[in-house]
Amino acid sequence: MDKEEILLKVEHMSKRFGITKALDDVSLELQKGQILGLIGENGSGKSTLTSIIAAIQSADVGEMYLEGKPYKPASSADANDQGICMILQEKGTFDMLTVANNIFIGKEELFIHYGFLNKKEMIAEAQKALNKIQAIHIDAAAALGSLNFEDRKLVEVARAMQSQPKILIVDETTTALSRNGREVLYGIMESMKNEGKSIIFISHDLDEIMEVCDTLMVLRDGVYIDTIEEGDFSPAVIRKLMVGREISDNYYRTDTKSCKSKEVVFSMEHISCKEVKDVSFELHKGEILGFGGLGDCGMHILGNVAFGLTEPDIGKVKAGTGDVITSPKAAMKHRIAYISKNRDQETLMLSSSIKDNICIASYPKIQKGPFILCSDETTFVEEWSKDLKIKMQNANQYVMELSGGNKQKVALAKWLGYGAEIFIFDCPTRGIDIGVKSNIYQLMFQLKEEGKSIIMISEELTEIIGMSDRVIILKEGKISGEFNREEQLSETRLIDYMV
Amino acid sequence: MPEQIVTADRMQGIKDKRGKFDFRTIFPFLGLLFVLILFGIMTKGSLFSKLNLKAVLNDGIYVMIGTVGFLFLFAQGALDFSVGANMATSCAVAAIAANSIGPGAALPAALLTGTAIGIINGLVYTKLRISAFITTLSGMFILQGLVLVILDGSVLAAPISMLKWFTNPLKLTILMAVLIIGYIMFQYTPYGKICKSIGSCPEAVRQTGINLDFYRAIPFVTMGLLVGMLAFLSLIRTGSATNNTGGTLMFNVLNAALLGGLPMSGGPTTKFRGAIVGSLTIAFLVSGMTIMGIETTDQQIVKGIVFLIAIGISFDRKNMKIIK
Amino acid sequence: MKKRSLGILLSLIMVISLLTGCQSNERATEATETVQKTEEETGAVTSVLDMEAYTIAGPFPDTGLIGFDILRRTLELTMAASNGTFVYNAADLTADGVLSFVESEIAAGVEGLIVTPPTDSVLPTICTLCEEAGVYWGISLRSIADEEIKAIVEASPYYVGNCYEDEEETGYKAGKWMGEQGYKKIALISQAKGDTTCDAREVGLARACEEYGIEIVAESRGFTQASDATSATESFLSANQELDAIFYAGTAATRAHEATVKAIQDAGREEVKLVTIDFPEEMGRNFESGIQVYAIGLPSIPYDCLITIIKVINAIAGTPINDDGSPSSSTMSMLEITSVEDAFAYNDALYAEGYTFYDEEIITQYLFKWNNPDLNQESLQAIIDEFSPLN
Repeated sequence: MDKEEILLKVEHMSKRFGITKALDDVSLELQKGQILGLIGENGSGKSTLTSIIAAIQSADVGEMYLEGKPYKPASSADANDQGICMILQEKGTFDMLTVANNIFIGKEELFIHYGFLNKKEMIAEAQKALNKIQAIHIDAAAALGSLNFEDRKLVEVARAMQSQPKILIVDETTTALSRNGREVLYGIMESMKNEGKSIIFISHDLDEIMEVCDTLMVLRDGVYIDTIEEGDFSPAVIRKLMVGREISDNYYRTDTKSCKSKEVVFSMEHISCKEVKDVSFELHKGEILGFGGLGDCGMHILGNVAFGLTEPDIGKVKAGTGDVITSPKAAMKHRIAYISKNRDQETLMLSSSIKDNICIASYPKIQKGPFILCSDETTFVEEWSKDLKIKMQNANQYVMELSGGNKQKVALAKWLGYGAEIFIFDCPTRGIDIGVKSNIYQLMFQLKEEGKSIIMISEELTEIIGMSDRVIILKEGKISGEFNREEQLSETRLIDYMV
Repeated sequence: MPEQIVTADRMQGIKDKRGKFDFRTIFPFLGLLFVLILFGIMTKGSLFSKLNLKAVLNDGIYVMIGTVGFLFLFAQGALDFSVGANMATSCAVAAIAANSIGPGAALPAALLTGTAIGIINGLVYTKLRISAFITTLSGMFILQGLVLVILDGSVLAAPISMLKWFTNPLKLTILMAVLIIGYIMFQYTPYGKICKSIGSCPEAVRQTGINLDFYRAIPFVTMGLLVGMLAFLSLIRTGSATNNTGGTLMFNVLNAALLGGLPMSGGPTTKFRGAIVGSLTIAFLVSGMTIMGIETTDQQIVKGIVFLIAIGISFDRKNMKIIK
Repeated sequence: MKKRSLGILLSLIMVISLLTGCQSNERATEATETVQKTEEETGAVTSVLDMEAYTIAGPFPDTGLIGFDILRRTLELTMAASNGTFVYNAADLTADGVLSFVESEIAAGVEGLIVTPPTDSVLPTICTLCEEAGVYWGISLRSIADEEIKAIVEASPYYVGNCYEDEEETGYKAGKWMGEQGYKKIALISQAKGDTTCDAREVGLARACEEYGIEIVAESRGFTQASDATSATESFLSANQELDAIFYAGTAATRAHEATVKAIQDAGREEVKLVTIDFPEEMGRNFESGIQVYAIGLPSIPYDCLITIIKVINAIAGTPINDDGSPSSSTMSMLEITSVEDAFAYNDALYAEGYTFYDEEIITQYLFKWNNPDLNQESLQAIIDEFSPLN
């Protein structure tokens, strides 16, 4: 390979945190015009690697070279100046400031003339930056707090692109973006590629990664495993490299029958609420009912309404008995459980212990008189976390310290402990490692076998197809298609109904 | 945040917990020990004389009981600014009751008034959805004016016979009862746990089918009840209700809460012992400084520094890490 | 790690500030040293009694208003001349606060206490506490209204008495003067109802108003700053074309009186006069402008604290004011100022550098009973009556 072709070179990099080896002798070569995907489970080291490249932290050992010359950034601002920008999954913007302020944060001197900050100029330049990335719908003078989550992310992207980086690092940013947002990002990446600039791309979404990247580099436990070129992409191979063992074909369910009983355990009648327009359906005992669609099709709101969290403008939510459900408490009385797609903000109490999280739904069950004894709590937790194999130190550990998959298991344990019979899962495997994902699918199937019923709302078509007895596709708030498991569904077919 | 960094931080956090050497948990005890030893030495032991301990108890009982009530609010991340004015109002009503109906009516009158005010606070907070800050701050102003009307002036004396009720057995019984009941409620009942959970993530509590409004309002009611008790104590100690009664309660309780390491952000790391340790620390701190003859202005400076230290150390990083 | 070092650093700062605080307030020992020095320097005033070192605590600050500065300086002399230390404990002013003050100071080992009780009902408790501890105590700035309590307190050998000003009488005097000038309509400025001082003054004022037929046409209360006075004055002036005077029963806002004077001048209504209880800071100028015509006030509030302290000192020394040890009650009369010369003279005297109520010679010769066996309630009252910064 030509030396000039190589934009970034990382050699023999290692980093420890305490006794943990986050990176162990990892090397990387990024060519000009290359979109390199970094894959690995949580703890693989991919984020550590990119954060060192973006100078958010420094390596213990190792050298980096940018365009052939030694690259030792003093700070992330320095890295920016040298042409390396990174955007993250989490919030990187300031609500209180305007969009323009956010884009030029730290670079205000560009607009200071004779001691005064020329706001108009800054706003104009900011709008240019936004237009350049095809985000013309965002007003550069607006307050950031007035934008929705996705637009805020786009502002971050505009900020990164404004400095015309040579290397853009995208770290799990797409997870929370809708199709639109992702298209914007892919567009940027394409044009950078055409200009001979490069991208390092991290995502949990295998399909996306395979679609977008030229090359994939796999890390596991801080160690470099392998590099795969575009032609050799295959989900099975990639999964195997990531996890280090065969993931059996039994990833999803193996059966192809959509068995369901006639008994209706839950129904929603003519529900209209925000984006949702007149949706009706029934859920049967022992059925896994999958809901799919584009991000804003209304399925997430549907889940919210189903649990009684939001009152529908029109329509009724009914339990199997015919009782109308108007609050979470009423829903729970009918043994309905709900795990929101924003599990960290709405389902789990991150700064509380595992014990508190699991027990909170079941205090009436656990308490003896007015009191709750520690021993009773511990027993309860053990009983319900055992089967789920939650990886934790002890029940008093804070939930925020767990990995995504284990957090989800804690949420599940809570509802299983409560004795739920009907589960509403919204994006149940979002941001979760492959290994744990398969765990959760097995669990869902097990619940079904036990006669429990599940509503699964997800943006991952493969998982809906893989797990559901019946699939309902929503488009712009209305039901656009309903399919049974027997019909040998494929993604392409379903997408037709989504867009 | 890059996964790896979070994982490593977690490891550190886990290790910290295992070794139990979390500075933040220990700080309140260290603080108390430091104050006791330092002032014990500098006052040549008179800090612990019988007379002084009595003085500390008389002064400190208000803070201790007040802080216990505050715990349930603090755990949720809420505050009640009206406690001082509530105390004055309850004391005034109790004095009137004692004078017109009889000394036996003082306690019920105080408790009822305090609780009623607490109920109003709770309702305004949950039903009208006005922040605790504004609700209780306005309440404070309203009550301060109300007291003057009730007292028709600034002072109302109660029957002198009530002064002799302020005995050590009574004080200690009330204090112990509040501490024990408070402890049990905070640690071992759903009520306490839910308060802490609300401080951790209110939405998650709501999505577990728990009536959020109810559990948000109740701490104000219990606070009101305890304030009523304090109003009664003040009445039998001083023999009068004044418009100034309870004037320093709010500030002292805040001091005690912070010195006790109660995190401002609330949540499950709010520890009951923080209330006790904090109140004891502030009580002995002030007592020690008084015995040493330190100027009140200097006392303020010391209190201020201690306040800052406590805030700096007790600020709960964990709760702040979560991006809400 | 960072938090740990921060904590340690701040703890160190606290210790250091404590130590320095400790230095400047070491009781007993310092006082003894000072006494020895004084005796050597002046080489004369020998005490009949050899006073053992003692401490008195009082609930006021050692600075802030000019009055407290003067008191502090006077006390420095007084304490030095009698082997005593004074502790300023300006704790909170609530009834609970007063009791805490008494309890903690007794526990700290004082020999004497001054209290300013916000209510009479705390007095029996204070009385018992002091008796049990053998601590002499006196009341300043107040008198006991409740007869029952008065009887209890005055029966105690440890209660030395009080010194107070008759606020009601003051209000009456001011009202009387206005009545004699022929004023018929006045605007009243005062503190919020519940302020005992102002309440009492208003009672006296009301009495005079009734006697002389003066009508209070407007009121404003509770100023916190000078601008409050400006707005109130402006509204008084615009709402009332016939106004004889603006009357201050009392205010906590600094320079409120001066703001009123200016507002009157700005509105061109110099015929409206300013009458105040308590002396304004710029009293001389106020009088000069022709707008302020009368002021009645204490030569300086903390003076009566001094008197009470003197009583306590004498009691501790074993030479109480009244030979039979019974408590003595003294009243401060209010000084009336009605001329520009007096106004200036008053301020000049008060704000003079190092001004004290009395100089050391007078204190030791007249106020220490062991040097002045003729000192008793009547003669003390005579001394008080004579006191004026104008002398």
